[in-house]
Order: sequence, then C-alpha cells, then structure tokens
Amino acid sequence: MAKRNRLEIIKDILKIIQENHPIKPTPLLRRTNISSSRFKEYYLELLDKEFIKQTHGKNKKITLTKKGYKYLEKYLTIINFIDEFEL
Amino acid sequence: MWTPSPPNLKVFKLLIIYYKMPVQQLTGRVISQGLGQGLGRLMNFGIGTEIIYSFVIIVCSLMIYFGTRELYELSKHKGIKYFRLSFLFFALAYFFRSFIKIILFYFNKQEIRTILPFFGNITLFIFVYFSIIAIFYLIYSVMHKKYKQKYIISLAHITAIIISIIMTLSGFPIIL
Repeated sequence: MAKRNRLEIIKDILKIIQENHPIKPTPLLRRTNISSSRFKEYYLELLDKEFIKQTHGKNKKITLTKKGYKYLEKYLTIINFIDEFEL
Repeated sequence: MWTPSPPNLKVFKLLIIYYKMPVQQLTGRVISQGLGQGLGRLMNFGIGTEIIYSFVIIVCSLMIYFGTRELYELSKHKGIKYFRLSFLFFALAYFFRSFIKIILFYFNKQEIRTILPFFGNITLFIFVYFSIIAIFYLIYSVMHKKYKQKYIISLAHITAIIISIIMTLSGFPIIL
C-alpha cells in the first residue's frame, strides 16, 4: 500500500468526520489508521485552520466546518493541479 | 596628371526634366510624405502593441495568482505557493517594463538612465530583480521537494539583488 501524503491524510480524516459526524476523537483516531502522535499533529492543525470544530463540554465531538466541506469539494482539483504542473 | 572628367550631360538633362515636370515632383513628395506618415504610424503601432502585450501578460499573470488563491488557502501546498508567487513577480516585472517602455517612447530615447538618472536606475533595478525572482520561484516550485533547505530562498533574493545592482550600475544595456 502506497504511503499517503499530507493532503491525502487530511482528506481521509475529513471524509471520516463527514460520514460519521459528530464523531469523538478516539473513534476518529482508530478509523484514520495513523499513529496517535501524528494524529494529534493533524488534529491540532485542522482545528487551527478551522477545517473542523469540536463541541465543548464533557463529551467532545468533532464536526466539519464550511472550510472542511470546501476542502473535500476541491480536493480533486488541488491534486490534479499539483500533478499537472508537477509541483 | 589628373584631368577632371567632363560632366555627365545625361544626368543634367534628367535633372532639368525632373524639375520641369511638376507631376513627377508631386508624386515624389506624396510618396515620401506617405512613407513618413506610414513609418510614423508604425512607430505608434509599435508602442500600442507593447502596451497591449504588457497588459495581456499582466492580466494573465494576475489571473493565475488570484485564481490559485483558494487552492493554496485550502492546501497550503508549498509548490502552489511558489508557483503563484512567480506569476505575481512576472506581473510586477512586466508592469515596470511597460512603464520604462512608455517613458522611452515619450522622450524618444534608447536608455532610461539618460532621461532620469536616479529614478531610471531604481526602475531598472526593480525590473531586473522582479524578473530574476519570478524565474527563481517558477523553478523552485518544481524543485522544492529536492531542495528543502531554509536558506535557499534568502540566498536567491540576495543573489537577485546583487545581480540587479551590478546590471544597474554597470551601465550594461538591458534589452527589454
């Protein structure tokens, strides 16, 4: 199985959240199939960039934001653009 | 011993005929005036073409820069970042190029340094710097995965500044 690049991992995470929202962090970690340290990095990055948001309180749940949906929408365009120009 | 050759009577006859014939004279003036006007129009056509050409380049470059903004904001991909920056710098370089061309045309000179020494040098420096940086970013957008060192971009900017200073101060004729 080929190694996933950064953009693909982000897409996979967002896709899982889209299909299972709202989702708790632990089930999300299990489904993304990456190490917990890397997952934490990506999780914080996605929160920081406002691709996802988490509910406050006892049970933290994660949902997609508008930007997250947009990323999923534009993912193929981004990948095709990068491949086309070999960036 | 040198002896002068007799004047060519045929030439004199032709000249007399020419000057006695007002129609021929008129035709010659019309032709020369027409040629002059035609050349004048070509000159104006030249600067007009230059302006249109620069405008097209600037607009296309800025369209690419702004068109890829969303892709970069979503992905934060470095390749896309450098690709966009190269077209931004291309647009800026061509803006200054067209500015120089218009000034040269207006003053009917070959070198902007002769018209406005200090301002001309600054404009030339900016044009050369932006051109070099645009080319660097275009190449680096493809090579950034191979060369990830942080100092490469700073080094490129410093090199571009040095080259621009050398080209500006040396009086090297810059072909625009």
